[in-house]
Amino acid sequence: MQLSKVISFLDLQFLSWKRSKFFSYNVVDSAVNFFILTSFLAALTAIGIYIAKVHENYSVNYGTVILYYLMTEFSTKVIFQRIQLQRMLKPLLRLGFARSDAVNLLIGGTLLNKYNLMFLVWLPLAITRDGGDLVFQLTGIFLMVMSLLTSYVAICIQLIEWIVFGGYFVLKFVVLAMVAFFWYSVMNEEIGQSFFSMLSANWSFSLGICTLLIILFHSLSGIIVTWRFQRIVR
Amino acid sequence: MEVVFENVIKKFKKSFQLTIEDITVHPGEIVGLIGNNGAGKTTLLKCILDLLKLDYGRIMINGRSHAKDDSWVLTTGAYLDRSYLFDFLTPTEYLERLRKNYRVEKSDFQRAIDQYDLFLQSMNRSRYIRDLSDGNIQKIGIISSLLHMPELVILDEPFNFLDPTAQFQLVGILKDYCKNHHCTLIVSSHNLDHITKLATRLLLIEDGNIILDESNNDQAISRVNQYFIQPSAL
Repeated sequence: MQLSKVISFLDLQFLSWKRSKFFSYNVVDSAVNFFILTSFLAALTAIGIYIAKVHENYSVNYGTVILYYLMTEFSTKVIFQRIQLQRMLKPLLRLGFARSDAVNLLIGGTLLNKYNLMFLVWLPLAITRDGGDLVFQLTGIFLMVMSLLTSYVAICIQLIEWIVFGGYFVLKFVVLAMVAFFWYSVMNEEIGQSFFSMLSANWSFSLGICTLLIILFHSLSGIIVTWRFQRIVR
Repeated sequence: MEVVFENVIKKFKKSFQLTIEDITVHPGEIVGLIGNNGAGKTTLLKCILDLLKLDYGRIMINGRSHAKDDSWVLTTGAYLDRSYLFDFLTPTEYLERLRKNYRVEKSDFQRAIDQYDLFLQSMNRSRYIRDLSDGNIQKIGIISSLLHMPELVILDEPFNFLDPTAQFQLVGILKDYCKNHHCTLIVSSHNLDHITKLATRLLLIEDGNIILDESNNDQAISRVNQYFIQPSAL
């Protein structure tokens, strides 16, 4: 894919956001607005977790996190497929983009919008660690870069060609199980304590765990979007 | 460009099926696609543009399957509806992006736009496309499909929303374009007056089937007129 096409696409994405009317359909398909929206939800979740942790009401936290996860997934499905992907494909084709380029850019762009998912892991973790130290803050930055990189990689390797239908279901359940276990361990006093002490003792391990989770989330969202998108574009 | 339909079938859930057996559209031909609402005109155009996946058969553009080799995209211009445009751009910005993506020289592009000055004269080109009238959006969509000098042009109901003057201008523009560039034009319309002045060949479609395929002459026009007065007469 030519770099000029990527730049042209990103520029269009930016203009789409810049010129959108607030709360019109353009808002939701802009990266920044969606970032703000989900970050807000993530922040609310994190605050909820923190408060609940203080009150030692762990069962509520668990449900909140799963609910947030489902909301994120739901928004991925509904908002991006239906509005952004479908709406942007025809104009891109008209503008001289090859179909494969247009599809990959749209999927890549969607993944790019989803780097906010890092908050699902990182932000609550940072809060439960009293705001986090320098290593944790650096981890956040690293995660941001990583998620952007994975998005770019997703564009380049033509995600659409190697994601198969079956993988969607398998990974979905794997990630759900991981999320469930992760939050269970965080919420559970004993396991959570040992988990955090392990993270504190070895920041590179912590970084690795977070990165792995982010990549998994990206893969998951990529699979969902790719699979659904392929079904609606033609 | 030559477009060949080979036993094309596209099925829809609601019992509609488009069936095009062996039809060849020759280079330089202007095909007028006519039929009542729901007959399958737009579906046929979408199939040519690879926006709908065929259930059976294939469409060959210049001897190559259009679904497998999308090199035809660069030499094809199309406008089906306003969703082909980026509504958050101004006409000037949109056309400039078109020029860059198709890599047309600035001077050539400007010369091409100048040709259509009369047609576009009522348009404020510094307003966003979404704020233009339906007629002006239609104009910018049609003209943008011609500016990169395509060899195949596909237009769906191009006379819709245009004032009578613009409709007559458009017949002249399309005729001249096809004559000067030896372009293949496939155009659908409900306006029998304009379509019979423009087309060299008439295809009448009913319930997804071509029921008349004739060169444009008095006899064919008479049969078409008769069909629309009394559909069972043909």
